[in-house]
Amino acid sequence: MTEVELKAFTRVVTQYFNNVTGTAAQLGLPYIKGERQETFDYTGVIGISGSRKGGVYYTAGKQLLEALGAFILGDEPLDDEALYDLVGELTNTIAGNMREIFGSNFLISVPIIMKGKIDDIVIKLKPPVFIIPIIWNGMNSHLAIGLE
Amino acid sequence: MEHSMLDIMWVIMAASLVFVMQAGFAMVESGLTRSKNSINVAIKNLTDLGVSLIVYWLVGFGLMFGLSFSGIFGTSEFFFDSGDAWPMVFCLFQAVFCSTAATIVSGAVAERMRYISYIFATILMALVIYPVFGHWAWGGALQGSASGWLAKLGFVDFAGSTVVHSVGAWVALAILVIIGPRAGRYKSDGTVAPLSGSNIPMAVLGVILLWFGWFGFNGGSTLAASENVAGIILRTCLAGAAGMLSALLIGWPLLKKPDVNLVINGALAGLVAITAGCHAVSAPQSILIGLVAGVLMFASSILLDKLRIDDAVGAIPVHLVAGIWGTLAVAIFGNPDILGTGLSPLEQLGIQGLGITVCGMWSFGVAWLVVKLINAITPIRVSQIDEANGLNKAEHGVSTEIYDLFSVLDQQAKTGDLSLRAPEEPFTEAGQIAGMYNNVMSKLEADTIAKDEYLQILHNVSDGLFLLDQDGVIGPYYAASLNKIFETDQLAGQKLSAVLARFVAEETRAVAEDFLQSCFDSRIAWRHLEKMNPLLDAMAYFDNGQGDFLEKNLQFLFRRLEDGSVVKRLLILVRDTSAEKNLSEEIEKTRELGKQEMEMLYRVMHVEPKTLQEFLDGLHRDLEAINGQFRAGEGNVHERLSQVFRLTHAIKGDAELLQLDFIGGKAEELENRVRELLKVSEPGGEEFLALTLLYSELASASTKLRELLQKWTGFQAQTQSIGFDGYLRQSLASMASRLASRYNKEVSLDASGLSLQFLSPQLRKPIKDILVQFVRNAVFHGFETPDVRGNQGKASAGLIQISGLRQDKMLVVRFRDDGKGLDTGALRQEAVKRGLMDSAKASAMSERDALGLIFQSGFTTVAVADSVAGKGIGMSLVRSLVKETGSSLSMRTKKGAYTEFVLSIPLSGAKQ
Amino acid sequence: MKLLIVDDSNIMRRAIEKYLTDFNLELVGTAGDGEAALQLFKAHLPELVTLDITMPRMDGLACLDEIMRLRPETKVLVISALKDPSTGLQALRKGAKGFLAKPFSPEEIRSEVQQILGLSS
Repeated sequence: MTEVELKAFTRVVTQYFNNVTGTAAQLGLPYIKGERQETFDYTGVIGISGSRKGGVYYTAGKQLLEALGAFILGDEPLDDEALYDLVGELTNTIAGNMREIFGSNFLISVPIIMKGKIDDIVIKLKPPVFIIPIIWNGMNSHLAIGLE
Repeated sequence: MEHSMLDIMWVIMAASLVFVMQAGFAMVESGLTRSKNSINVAIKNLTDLGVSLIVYWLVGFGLMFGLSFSGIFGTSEFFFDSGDAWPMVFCLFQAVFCSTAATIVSGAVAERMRYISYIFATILMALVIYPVFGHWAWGGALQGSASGWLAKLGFVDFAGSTVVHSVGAWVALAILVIIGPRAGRYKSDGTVAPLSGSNIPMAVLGVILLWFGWFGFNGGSTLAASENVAGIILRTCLAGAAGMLSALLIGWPLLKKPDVNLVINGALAGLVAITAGCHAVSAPQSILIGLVAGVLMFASSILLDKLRIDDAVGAIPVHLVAGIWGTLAVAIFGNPDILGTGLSPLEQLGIQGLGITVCGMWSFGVAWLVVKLINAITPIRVSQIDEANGLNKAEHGVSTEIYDLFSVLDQQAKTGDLSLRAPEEPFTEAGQIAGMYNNVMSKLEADTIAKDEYLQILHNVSDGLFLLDQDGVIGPYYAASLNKIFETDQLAGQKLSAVLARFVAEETRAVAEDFLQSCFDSRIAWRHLEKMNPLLDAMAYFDNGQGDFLEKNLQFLFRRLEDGSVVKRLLILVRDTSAEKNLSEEIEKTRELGKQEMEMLYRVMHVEPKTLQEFLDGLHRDLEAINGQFRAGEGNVHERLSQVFRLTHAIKGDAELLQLDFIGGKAEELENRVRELLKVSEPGGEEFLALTLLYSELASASTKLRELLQKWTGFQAQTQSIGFDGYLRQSLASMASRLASRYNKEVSLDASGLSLQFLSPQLRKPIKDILVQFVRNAVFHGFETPDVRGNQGKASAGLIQISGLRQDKMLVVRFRDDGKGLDTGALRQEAVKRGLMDSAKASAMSERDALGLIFQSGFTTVAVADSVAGKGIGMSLVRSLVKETGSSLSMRTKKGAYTEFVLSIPLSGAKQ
Repeated sequence: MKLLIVDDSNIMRRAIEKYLTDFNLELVGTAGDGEAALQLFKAHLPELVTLDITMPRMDGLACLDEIMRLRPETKVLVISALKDPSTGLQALRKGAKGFLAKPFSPEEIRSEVQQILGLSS
């Protein structure tokens, strides 16, 4: 990973929030993921292959996803299924947008979505895994990037 | 009663028309049944004509029209003969009526009733059932006055809706109930299988003949060439037409198609219904009667199927249901004057109903009893095999060429046996078709065997072999292994470029598409093109649906298949080379790894293993601590950065001590970056990214080193030989001289009086770290260059003395250098310059406080920092280590003479 | 005019439907993958289709090929997170009338659909 690539990832995320909600997300201090599992309520994982190998995941709490969903769908109620869906879509958009930087050979898989604390998601991510805290409207979430 | 010649002529003609109806029935019934039974049905029609004529003449006619016994049956005129014209005409006319009734049965029970049984049924009909009921309704007609008991009650059935049609149909119904449905007609799921007629056009012609015959059937029933005949025939036609229309109108929308049976049986139902009252109704009424008959026919045929009564041609709905309706319609519409019964319409209806009921009880009853009896003696139904093979063959040993052809085709479809050949009957159309068919089969059989072998190969070859046509489409036969290689099924007919797009990266796919196009361009020489194969070693990525990719190395090899100068197809071979590729990459990786490890090993070889282990443990802790600072979501960013700065600095120091440049270098990069960041007032997440990146490199270097160390377990053995103290002395000395040479200084280090070996490793490290900082400080700040020292009368090499002394529960470590000492004046000036205090306060500061300045973070007197000094970090690290170990530190200095640190460490264990 | 919405995200399908309410299109169905989309397409032959690319079973580009084969005049708006120019170009070359990168705002999709339908904005 290079600084430029990491920055591109973070920019995609902050812009996502800006584009959808009008409020850009803030970056927290990034760090390297250790043994500990650090996920929130909902996590979308995407495998990366082709020009780069590894994976990314985006994980966020219920509250944040509900607030974000409200921006997209207005007052329509969001059930659990919809929150799954949303975190998957968000992960997919982040990874998909990265093709602008990494090119067409940056292949992204269909996202899989998990709930709760998960143990095996790291296997798709190649260490060192960078955890970038994303704060939006005071609510925390993480983007984790692990590419060779 | 006198009959004119005209009457006689008309009745002869009418009888002829009714006779023609036999042809009509034969055509309708055999047309509506399957070809394997068509001959049998036709033969039955002809047979029942002959049998019924003889039997009726013998006995039936007498029973029907002989002198009545109490209105129940006739008793004379058996073996009928007469010298007069009229009785003979009358007998002829009645005989063909009887045959009509008899022949109705054959269609209903078609395709399953044995021929012999059917003859019995015909005899029963012509001998008893028809004549007796006929007597009840029509008896006395020969004598000119009604003598039958029903007729006397006022029952009117002008031409036989009940007497002829219902009687025939009742008998058919009785047999149907006993004989059961045709094989395969009703499925277990309740649906009705259509058993299609063999020759519908013939059935249609049959209906037209029947219709034509009805002119005589109804028109002749006046038994005179009277004026009524014209009206009767017109009304007959109208009712037939109306029946057809109404059946069509109601059936078409319900069945979603104008079904053949609707048209055929609708018309017949209208004709049957008008038969009873055609002499006594008006033309509009006849249409109404026909309309209702068509609807009833349609409804009742559905009902029959619901009851699972399998009427092969629809005889029951047409002859029984429409017949009953027609008989009742006499009472409803009939002109009482013409009927001449003297009954009120309601009474008439009652009598009509009575006649219908009696007819049913008699005809159905007798037929059921007798047929049941016969069936008990000998089955009236053919065997299952005969039914399956068809009654043409089974009953008569005859067949139609077209049927034979169908049998072979059917057999072939069922068994897939390509060696079967159709019988080639010369001079028939079917035979010619069979001949052509056999030719096609012979060719196909030969090709199929060849193809079979080809397919066998394709099924078993492990490489993905296939043909690509000019449109870039994969051919219908390809190696089964291709499915596995491409992780897809049903590749035949798909465009290769579309298939590739699913798993090959876009750039490769685009080039491949160009390449494939060029392959079909014969102007481009193959020898060039062959070398440009973009898929010779292509990566394929298959999304496994679990957030991950399955990766394969695929090798595509191409061959042109040319026809003349045109490239018709490409022969393509695909191999999954992942295993080979992985192996060679693995080997390469291992080799590369081995090289790296050797290099690294070379760099660490000089380090005493136990020390190295301790260094690594410490490094690990420090790295965790640094990441912990990054991770700790809250707190002052500057403070956290300062912590990171100190920790990194310590790592750098340790690494330099052990000459581990690859770690020291990374640590320094990180340290520099932190320093940059400390200058930014509000560093944000983005600025931290680079930091995290550098950190990850440092961490991975540490991990690599640790892995290496674990591998070289042989290190353990060496551990004992030098010991920690020896190693510490050695490494401090060598670090001092290395640093010294960097600044063109000379130094000698004496640590012989120092022993830390008895301490716990937790305590050894901080003390060692402190000593490292002291050494750095001494070399950089303390010592003068050799010439300066010479001028001052000192030895050219600076001297560092380190000693350790155990006192009670304390270890007192003394560190002394004979350098230039600390200049408190310079320290005071620097403090003012940095804005830490104003000059008044600086000069007022005690000597001790001034010296304390060097322990402040970021404080330095050096203008340009490098990796050894000038960052103001070393002494602040010392301060925090002192605090961490619960030690105390004192210092003394004399300008131009020495600097001395005394470190007192409690041995009871460091407080945390 | 009939509309078909194809996206593997239910939220996005609902969002697109909501954002396009004002166009008075008759929504004939929504699909979460290419195969389901083709079924619906064959059954209803919608004039306008919004099409995601990254989807399970059959992806959007393969689905686009099929749609163009079945009814070339169909107006397809590809809406994808794949922002690289090559993907966009590929979609347009295959016959898509528009390409919209995710994430998008309601205004962006409305303006894109307006352009595609040839309505003056």
